[in-house]
Amino acid sequence: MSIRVATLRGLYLDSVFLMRVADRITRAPGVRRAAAVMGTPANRRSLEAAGLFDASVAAAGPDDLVIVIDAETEEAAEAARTRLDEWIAPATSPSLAARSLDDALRILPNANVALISVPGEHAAAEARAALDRGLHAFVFSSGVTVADEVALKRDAHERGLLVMGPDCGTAIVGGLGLGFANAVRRGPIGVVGGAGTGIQELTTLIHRAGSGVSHAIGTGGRDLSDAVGGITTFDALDALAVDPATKVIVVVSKPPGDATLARLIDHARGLRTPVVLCALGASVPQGTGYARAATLDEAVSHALALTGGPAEIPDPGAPLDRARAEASRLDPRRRYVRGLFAGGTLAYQAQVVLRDAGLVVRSNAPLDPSLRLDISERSGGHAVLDLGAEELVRGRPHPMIDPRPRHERIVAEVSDPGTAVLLLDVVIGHAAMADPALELTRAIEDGRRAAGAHVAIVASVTGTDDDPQDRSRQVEILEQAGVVVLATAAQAASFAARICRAHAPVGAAA
Amino acid sequence: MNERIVALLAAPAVVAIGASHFADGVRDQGAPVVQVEWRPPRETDDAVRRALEKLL
Repeated sequence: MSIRVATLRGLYLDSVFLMRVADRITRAPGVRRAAAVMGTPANRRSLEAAGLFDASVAAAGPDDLVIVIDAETEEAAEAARTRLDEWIAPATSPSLAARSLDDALRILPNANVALISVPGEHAAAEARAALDRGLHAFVFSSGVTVADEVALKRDAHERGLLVMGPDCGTAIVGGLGLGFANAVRRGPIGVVGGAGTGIQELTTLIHRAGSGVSHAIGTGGRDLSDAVGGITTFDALDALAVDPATKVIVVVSKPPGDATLARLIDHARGLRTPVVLCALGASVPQGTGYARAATLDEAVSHALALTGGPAEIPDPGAPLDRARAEASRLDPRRRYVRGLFAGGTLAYQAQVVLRDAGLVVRSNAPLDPSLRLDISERSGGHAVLDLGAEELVRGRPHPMIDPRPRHERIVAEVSDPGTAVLLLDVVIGHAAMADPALELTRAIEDGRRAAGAHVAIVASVTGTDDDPQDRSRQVEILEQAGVVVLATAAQAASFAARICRAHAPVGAAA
Repeated sequence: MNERIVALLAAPAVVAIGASHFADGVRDQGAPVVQVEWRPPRETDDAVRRALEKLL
């Protein structure tokens, strides 16, 4: 084994680009492992823990790019190191045209939205600069303080601008997907949501049912908290309510604050456009002037019915005998559902569905604080993990881009003698990884080899056949690997619960 | 509807600040986009900026 370290002073590259650099180096002859990271204290600690370290790593600062190569021989390490320029070359391509925001506006004077994905501590300043120049802000970054979020949104509201985010995964404006978004048909259904993968699941189900989306406006996960008070949600609702293309509006979120939920209901009632409220995990009171939905599937059904279009969610769930067949192959000691999700909203919805099926599920993003599971713990009973949670993606690419964190956990969960069902989401679309199904099947194979016993594997694929990854192709890859693929994420969670119930009566399994 | 939101929904045009693959996603959809070559401000820059903000 031979370690080579190269430190490039003052060269900043984003974490997604660096993940790809490390990937390319790892494929070079004789290279065992490679890392390419900015020299922040946290990254230096991770390198040390991984044994990818020498004195020059310790001397690097947060503005320095550190590349560490671990090769089988001195020669291989040196050969890889001498190709550094080649590894990082695409970063200096002419597509990175502008040196500053003002420079960008000289190149593209009609720009009207800034798509911000810088590290969280810098995101508020960039959003402020965008608003000052009359641009709407789509803030993918998480890690912005609530105080900054409130200040930015109030200011934007005064100026007639939208702040989508922070922690906004998805928007579709005028047919253009921002962040992680899917290729969906345009049509009569508008979406406002503080739930990125929730918007993706909704918009793709609408498309697959034959209808379409006018606009989908992301708000960020905290917008409907009482601290923020729904500033972006209300502005987005008002905009869609007078948009001639929008005939019905779906609002999707995790549980809103009590006061903000009451205001949201009042506001929805006052609009002439019908509104469907889907606050996952919250108890929205029954009332007139709006429709309620407990799951994303239900929200889509209501919206389709309200637009007078086809009222069908694609194919029904896999039949009960398929669940029984899966259950009959399981060792009796394997009793638990283990959900590993890239999509935060889908992880949340899975917990709602499993809870309603009678299972007690712990999570790092739990429905109830008493059900918290730290990501470093073993899962124990039923568990659903959101691998894209804010604390897990600080300075790292999202699991919709980087398959490695989920790969490790899949192997661990399948090997765990308590796991009966592994429940997965696959989310495709613009900006997501090129072939997530293939990545998952590799992890599943590694897990099965380590476990040496049957585990039922259940998944859903959020996307459309028009996405770059092609949903049908992704489904085919998973099914060839023995994965049961359901039509929707809610159906997949429900099917996982069915396998558990067929295998062990509820109560015994909880 | 307010005209700035109308303009966004009618013809979005994007300045991408941060991870370049998001700009690639916009470009792949055929929409106008410019990527800003962003780097974190140096701490000394921050200190100078704060001092200037106090003065102005």
